[in-house]
Amino acid sequence: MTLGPWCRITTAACRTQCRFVGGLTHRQTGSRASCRNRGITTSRRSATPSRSHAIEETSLQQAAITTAIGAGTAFALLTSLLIILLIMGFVAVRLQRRQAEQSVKAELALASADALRGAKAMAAVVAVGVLLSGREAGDNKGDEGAVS
Amino acid sequence: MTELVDFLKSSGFYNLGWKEVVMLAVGLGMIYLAISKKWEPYELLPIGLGIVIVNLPLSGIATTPVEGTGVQDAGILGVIFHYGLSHWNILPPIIFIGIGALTDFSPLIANPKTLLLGAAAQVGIFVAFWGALGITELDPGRFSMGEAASIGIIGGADGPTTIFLSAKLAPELLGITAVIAYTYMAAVPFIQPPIMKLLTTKKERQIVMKPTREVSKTEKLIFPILLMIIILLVVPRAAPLVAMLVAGNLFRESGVVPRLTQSASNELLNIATIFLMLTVGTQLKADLVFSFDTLLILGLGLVAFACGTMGGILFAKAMNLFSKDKINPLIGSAGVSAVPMAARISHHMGQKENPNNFLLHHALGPNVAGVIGSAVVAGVFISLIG
Repeated sequence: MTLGPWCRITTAACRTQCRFVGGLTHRQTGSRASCRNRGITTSRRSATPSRSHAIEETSLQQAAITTAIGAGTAFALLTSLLIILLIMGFVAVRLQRRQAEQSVKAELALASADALRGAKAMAAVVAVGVLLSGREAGDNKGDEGAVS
Repeated sequence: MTELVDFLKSSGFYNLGWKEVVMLAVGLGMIYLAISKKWEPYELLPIGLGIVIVNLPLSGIATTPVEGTGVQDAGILGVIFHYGLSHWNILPPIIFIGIGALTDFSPLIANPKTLLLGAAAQVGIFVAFWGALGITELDPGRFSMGEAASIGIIGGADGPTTIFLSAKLAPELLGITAVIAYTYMAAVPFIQPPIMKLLTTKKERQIVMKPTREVSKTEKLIFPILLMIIILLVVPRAAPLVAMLVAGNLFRESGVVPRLTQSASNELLNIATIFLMLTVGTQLKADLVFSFDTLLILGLGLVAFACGTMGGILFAKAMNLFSKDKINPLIGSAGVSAVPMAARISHHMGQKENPNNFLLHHALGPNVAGVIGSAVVAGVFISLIG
């Protein structure tokens, strides 16, 4: 049930074949794909390189590059999003402030218009009151004459 | 008589070994923790059930389909694993639509500095990645690069991301990495507080942060779109996770598709969770679990979580050296994702020191940033190693 220490077929095919042949699993080391039956010792261990070359130099280099790119990309992307958010926040706060100012102005204008309208209404009421009282005074005069 | 013997030999009892019995106990233990202690019940209950199902011998329920044959002897959970995870890997992105529909980016938009905490907390991923490679140096052939990446991503404390990456780079470790990630996420209330106390002073824990500004609807709509465009331009391989997260979030924030938001955050998320978690549980067969590798991954996962927590806290402390508005370093620990558990821990720790301190809203910023950060790192791993 072993496929040998090193699988010489492509990774995807290896994975497929491994899964269907007695539950064998695969491992991928660098560019090489290897298969072994997990839990059952295979010839792979004996075929492994010496201790000093446990992780090949190229693999170590690849790991270092992966780490540098991975960490660097995450930081760079999140920092660029931070900058975008700061700019967006700056613009949004200014817009909000402007909107608030405009709404205050509009409210003030509305309030002054209301006050003007109120004053006009009051003036009208006063005028009507004066006119009515004048007419009543005239009527009273007539009455008084009739009595006297 | 021979028939009876044959029948007995074909029964589960005859084929039950001690390893299977232990795994049944583990599965039942998870079900118990989920029901009685309410530890991540949405994950641990179906995973525990999956473990029980797969370790009952000869059920065949997790047998994967064989390509190119007409009549299939595959089990339902094997089919879901094959098409949902190992072959097409669609279940984690579907979960991300639901997460997006539940995510509120407001805390992040209101306090963008917290993005950096989410980035700093990803350090745990790389520590565990190098830890796995270091073990391989000592014990040749132990972990491949893809397996080391899958182990490292446990430090992202994000279940779907862990599953997504493991299914791509190390399908044989999928069950173990997923279960360890979810177990540690459930154990965040025990793992993080000692580290948080160790790395912060009482005075730092008492820092009261200024209330954040109100975020407009326009900002909530623009941010996810920009996030998706920028990340996908740099790391296209993170598209399945990031694009789905943004899709779900746009449904929510647009406010014009309430039925889609409802479906994404409820029905779709729930259906995907059922399939994903049950299937992940079925990957924990006794033969696979009882190996030294599993113990090593358990240890490395813990290291990843601890280092991620430390990274976030220490970066918050470093930011306080240069910042006028002080950050409570407790929110740094929420950068490891584990949404929203890690944010809640920050809040509770803050309230213990100062009952008037409300850190939950502030901690959700690094929490969400952690989700984005771990998805980015997963994309980079897939690009470079996959």
